[in-house]
Amino acid sequence: MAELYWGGGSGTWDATDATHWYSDAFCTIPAGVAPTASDNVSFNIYSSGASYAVTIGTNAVAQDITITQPATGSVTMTLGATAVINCYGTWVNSSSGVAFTTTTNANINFLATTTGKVVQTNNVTLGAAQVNFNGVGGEWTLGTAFTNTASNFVLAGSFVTNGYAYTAANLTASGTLTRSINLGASTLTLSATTPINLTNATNLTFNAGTSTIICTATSPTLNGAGQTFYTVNFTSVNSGTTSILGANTFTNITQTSRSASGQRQVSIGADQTITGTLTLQTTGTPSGSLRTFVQSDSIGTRRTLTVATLAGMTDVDFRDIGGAGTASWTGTRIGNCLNNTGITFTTGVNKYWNLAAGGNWTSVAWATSPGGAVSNANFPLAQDTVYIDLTTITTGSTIALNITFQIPTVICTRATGSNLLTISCLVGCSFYGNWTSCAGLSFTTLTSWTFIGQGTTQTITSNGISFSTNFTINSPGGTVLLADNLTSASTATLTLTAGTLDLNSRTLSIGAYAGTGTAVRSLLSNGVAIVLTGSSTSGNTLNIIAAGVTTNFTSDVRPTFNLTSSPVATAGTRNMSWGANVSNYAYIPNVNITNGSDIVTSSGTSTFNNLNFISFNGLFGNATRNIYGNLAINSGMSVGGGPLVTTFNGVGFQTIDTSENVCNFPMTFNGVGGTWEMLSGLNLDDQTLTLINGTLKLKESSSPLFTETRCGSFVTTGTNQKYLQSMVPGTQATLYGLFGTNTVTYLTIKDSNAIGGAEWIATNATNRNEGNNLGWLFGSPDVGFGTGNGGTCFGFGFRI
Amino acid sequence: MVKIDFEFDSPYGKYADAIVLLDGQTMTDAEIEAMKQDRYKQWLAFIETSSVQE
Repeated sequence: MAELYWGGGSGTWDATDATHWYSDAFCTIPAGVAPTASDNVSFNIYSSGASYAVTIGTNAVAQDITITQPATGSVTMTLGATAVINCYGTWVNSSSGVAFTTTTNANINFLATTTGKVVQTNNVTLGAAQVNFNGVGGEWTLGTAFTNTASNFVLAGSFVTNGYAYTAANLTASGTLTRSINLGASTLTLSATTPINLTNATNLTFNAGTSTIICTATSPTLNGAGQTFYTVNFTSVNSGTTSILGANTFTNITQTSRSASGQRQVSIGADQTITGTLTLQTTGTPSGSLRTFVQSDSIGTRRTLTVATLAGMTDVDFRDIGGAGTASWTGTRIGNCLNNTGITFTTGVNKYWNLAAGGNWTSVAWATSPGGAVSNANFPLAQDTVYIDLTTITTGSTIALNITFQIPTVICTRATGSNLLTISCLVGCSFYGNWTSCAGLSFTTLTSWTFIGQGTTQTITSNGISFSTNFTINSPGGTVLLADNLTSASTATLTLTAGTLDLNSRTLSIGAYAGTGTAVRSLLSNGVAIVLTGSSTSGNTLNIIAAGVTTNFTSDVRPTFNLTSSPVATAGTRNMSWGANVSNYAYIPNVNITNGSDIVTSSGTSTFNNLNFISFNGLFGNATRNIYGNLAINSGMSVGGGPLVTTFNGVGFQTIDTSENVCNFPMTFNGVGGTWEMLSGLNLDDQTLTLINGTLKLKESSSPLFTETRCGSFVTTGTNQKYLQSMVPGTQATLYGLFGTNTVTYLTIKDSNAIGGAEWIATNATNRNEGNNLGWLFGSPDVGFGTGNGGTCFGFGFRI
Repeated sequence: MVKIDFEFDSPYGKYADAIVLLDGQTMTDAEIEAMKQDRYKQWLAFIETSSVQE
């Protein structure tokens, strides 16, 4: 081990450059070598007579590192994005005359494998340099407060804050090496969105001591991995979300109260135990509209908060929360957003809008009786019923849903006329009751309304008024029922995430449909089609049906979607996706495309029942798709070619009508017991026609215009007998093959005239000549399959 | 090396730090006190600015 001293002012410190290293403190004897992991290095008053900079290379390495200011001025340690300092010992820098200029991705690694190492930065910020403690058996103890702006990692060894303040973006303990964090009585101030990130509890010892962890981010996620914390304060008063992951234990948790109207969310990812005090919203002016919303991170999954003491709370809403422990779960204006236990909620009452000029939902506009005195204390809770009497509002006024809140039942009443009141949906809101519109009402702005009254039935009554918003049904065990026809904007989407949407035989018209997630959800349409009015625009793709995952989706009958764009789509793409599995084939939809001259296509391996193009003038794009029902392609449209296969999987009778359009993509028929009847010629151009299971009835050739089925090659696969026939028994259907040899097996052929440049080989004994065939080469007539009804069979080896 | 521990109580919790004077480094009492205050105020400002109402 050597003692090495930096001299000569500015330069680069890396693993090989010996230029600036001296073996004496006065920097007079060149060392001739760069420091190694066993050498102590110092930057001192003899390092330079004036300010200087040390540029850190990709591997600046030393045992102990001591940095003090030069004789005059300061030393700046410059760490670029690839800079790495590997310190195998103790780190000390002076409080003045030392600065760090850093770039994100610079690293300072503490790699000791023995205890007793100290990190003593004098609270000089290390800036964006990430600090990693990563030495099995190592231990690093803070000797002063510590500050940087990066995420710091404890990967191996022990990090002891020793009661000193630790200010950084976060503190992460990742990996599975033996590592510990001991916070003692320190205060940690963490600004990152994941301030504590204990990604894996394996081989982790986390001792919170009596520490205080302050999380300042607007939306912090404390990933606690089931550890025990002392005091954790979430200080942001903005309208973000505090998330707590892991089933942790805390002594105290405080979520700072909001100080202005709006909602602060606290998301709970697992059961939590608070052995001391849980402090939620406690005070604020104006009250009522200034709220904290405590909820499970998963709708319908209750999280239990076992709390010893609950600080007096006001204006707090709960959803999917079990209040437990010795705490008194009561408070002022406590909102019930359903699926809670152990919490005493404020009794729901009627609330009345009483501000003639309109205003924001958060305005002091609410009374407890019609025309009564308004007060912010009357701000509606999720369990209330809100009445908006349009006769009490100045014509042309607006009520704005201006802040994301939990909205109760809303009943708009007593109006005739039009444009009396506009509901301006500035932000998305969640609804826990019914919505009733009335004449004179209108809506503006596209945001999202989420109906979330899990376990209840929520009724939407439009009374002929169109909405402007997206609708999401996310109501486990609940139902959203249409009392009458519902229309929303053609730019809006209906998303069915959880629960039941009961159309009640009414017509739902909205821009697009989406089914997301895997929660139990159901669509009750009673056979009434959902009208999707979304219109694609030039250069853009509109996902008009987006249901790539349909796990746990059911419906009363097969749903039908009518794609009726409004305005009529003339450019861009309307894309459909519908996933299916064996458990929900009964629910795959019929889709009718009734207008447009854009592109209509599908993505993924989408599955449809009937796919009907009606008065469509655009392009049907090539995609991998399964069709269990009929395919109807109208004349006037075009069909995009390509290599992606359309497979017909039906097991009943299906029809295919191409209107003589060229379908230049592969087609496969694979439905045991299924029959496909071609209502027109089928022209696959040079693509492959594959028959695996079922009966393929080709369009007969005696139509007024010569009709044929054309393909590049004809393939049979599998060992089930399948059937090739004509639509009209006794009348041949022409099968034109472009080239090559089409050798078939397990195929029963009847009324088939095989022509073109291809050879048609049916000599395998598994084939069956049912008669009236031309162009096929059979093995021998009537071998093995019974009927032997003649046809053009000329014995083994003959072909005509 | 001389180490001077200090701490402040705040509404957000305790701020604890130390001033380490390396060998040869001298500071007056006033400079040390000013440094304590500076560090505390800097920390306090960090919390308060990042938690402010939007």
